[in-house]
Amino acid sequence: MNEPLPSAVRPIDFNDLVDRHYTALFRFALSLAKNGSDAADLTQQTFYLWAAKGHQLRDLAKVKSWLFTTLYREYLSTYRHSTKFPHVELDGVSHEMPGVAPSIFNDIDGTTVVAALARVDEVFRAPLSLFYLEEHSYQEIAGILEIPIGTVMSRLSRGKAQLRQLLLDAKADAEGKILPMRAAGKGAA
Amino acid sequence: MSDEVRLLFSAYRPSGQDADDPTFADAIEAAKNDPELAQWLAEQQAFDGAVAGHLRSVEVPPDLRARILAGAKVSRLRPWWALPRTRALAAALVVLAAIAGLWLGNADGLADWQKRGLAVLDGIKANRESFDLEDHDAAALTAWLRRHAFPHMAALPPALDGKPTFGCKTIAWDGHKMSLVCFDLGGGVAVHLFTTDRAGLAHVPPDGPAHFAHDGAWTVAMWNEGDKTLMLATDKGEAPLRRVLQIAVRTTAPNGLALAVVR
Repeated sequence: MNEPLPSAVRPIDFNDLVDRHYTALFRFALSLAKNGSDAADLTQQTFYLWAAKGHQLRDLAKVKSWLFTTLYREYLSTYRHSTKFPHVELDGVSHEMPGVAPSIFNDIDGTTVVAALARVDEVFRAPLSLFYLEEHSYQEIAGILEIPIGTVMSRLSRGKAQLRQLLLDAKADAEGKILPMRAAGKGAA
Repeated sequence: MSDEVRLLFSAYRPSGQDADDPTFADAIEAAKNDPELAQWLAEQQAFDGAVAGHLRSVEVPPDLRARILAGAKVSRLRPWWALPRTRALAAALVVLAAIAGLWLGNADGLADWQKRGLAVLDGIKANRESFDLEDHDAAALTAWLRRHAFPHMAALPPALDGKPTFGCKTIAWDGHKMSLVCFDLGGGVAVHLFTTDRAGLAHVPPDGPAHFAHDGAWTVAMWNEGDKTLMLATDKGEAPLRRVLQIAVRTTAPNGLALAVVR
C-alpha cells in the first residue's frame, strides 16, 4: 500500500487551498478595506497572485502566512498609497482595559462589533483582525505585517482598548443615552 | 500586576491555541496565584472570545468561492500601472509621440544599466517581478537599502520628500548594484528613482543638467549627484520629471544647474 506523501511535499491543490483559507482572507480583507466589494476583490487578487507566483513557495507550512501577507501587501499597495503609513510607537502606554463589566458587551450584535472594528485606527486594526481571526499566533502576525513582535503586542493592547471604547460609544448611541454634562466642581451628575 | 504581563496576555488567543506556547507559561502561572490578574485575564478572554466569534460570523459573499475557482475576471486592484485609464493614456501618448516625431531620445541612446533598470520596471508592471520590500514610507525603504548595502540617495529630492512609496527593488549585475524606489505623486502619476554608484559605471551621463530620453512608454531623466548616478523614470512624459528635478537640482546643486534643467 502506498504511504501518503507528507503534506510538505504533496502538490498543493488549488481548490483545497481556496476552501481552507478564503473565508478568513475575506474577513481580514473586510476589516482592512471596510466594504465587501473591495474585500472580495482583494481576496480574489490574493489567489490570483498565488496562481501566478505561489508555486515558487516550497514550504507548504508557510502557505497560509503567504496568503495573508500577500493580501495585506495588496491592500497597502492599492488602498494606502495616498496616505502616509503611520509608524506609531506605543511604548509606555497603559494596558488597562476600560473599567467596564464584560457583561455590558453581551447584547452587542456582530454587525456592531465588525463596524466598530472597522473604525479602529488602521495601525491597530490589521493586527487586531488577525488576532481575532485566531488563525495566527502573535509571532506569525509579526511576520505577516513585517513588524517586531513587541510592536504586535503593543498594538493589540492599544487596539483592544480602542475597540472597547468604540463599542461603548456604539452601545450608548444605540440606547439613545444622553450623557449628563459634568458640572464644574461637582463631578459627574 | 505588571504592564508586561498584561501586554503579553493581549496576544493570548481566547480559544486556547496558545496554551502550550512556553512564552505564556510564566504569565499563566502568575495568574493562578494572583486573583486580580486572574480576573483581569478572564474578562479579557471573555471579551476577546466574543469579538472573535462575531468576526467569524461575518458572512462571505456566496459566489466568492466560485468566482475564485472559476478564475472569474477580477476587477484587479492594481497600482498605477494597471489602471485602465493609465494604460489607455500611456498608449495614446506613445502613439501620438511616435506620429509627431516628438522623441527627444531613443532606446538606443540608453546605456546598458538604464535598459536593465527599465526592464525590471517592465517586469514589475507585468507582475513578472515583485518589489523586495513594499512600504509606503520612503524612509523605511532607504533604511532597508542601507542595511542591504545597496546604493541610495543620502537625501531625497525635496519634491519627493514625504511622498508615499510603493516599494523598492534591488538590481545587481557584473559587480554593479542599483536600487529602485517607486513613488506615488498622486493623481495616478508615479515616478521611479534608480540609484547606482557612479564609480565603475561604463556609461555615465555627462555632468550638468539632467538629460532626458525615451524608451518605449518610459520617459527618463539621468543625472549625477556626488558619487551617485541617478535615473528618474515615469510613463507620464517629461512633466512630472521636470517637476521633481526642478526643485531637486535647485536645492542640491546651487551652482546654476537648476535653471538649466527648468528651461
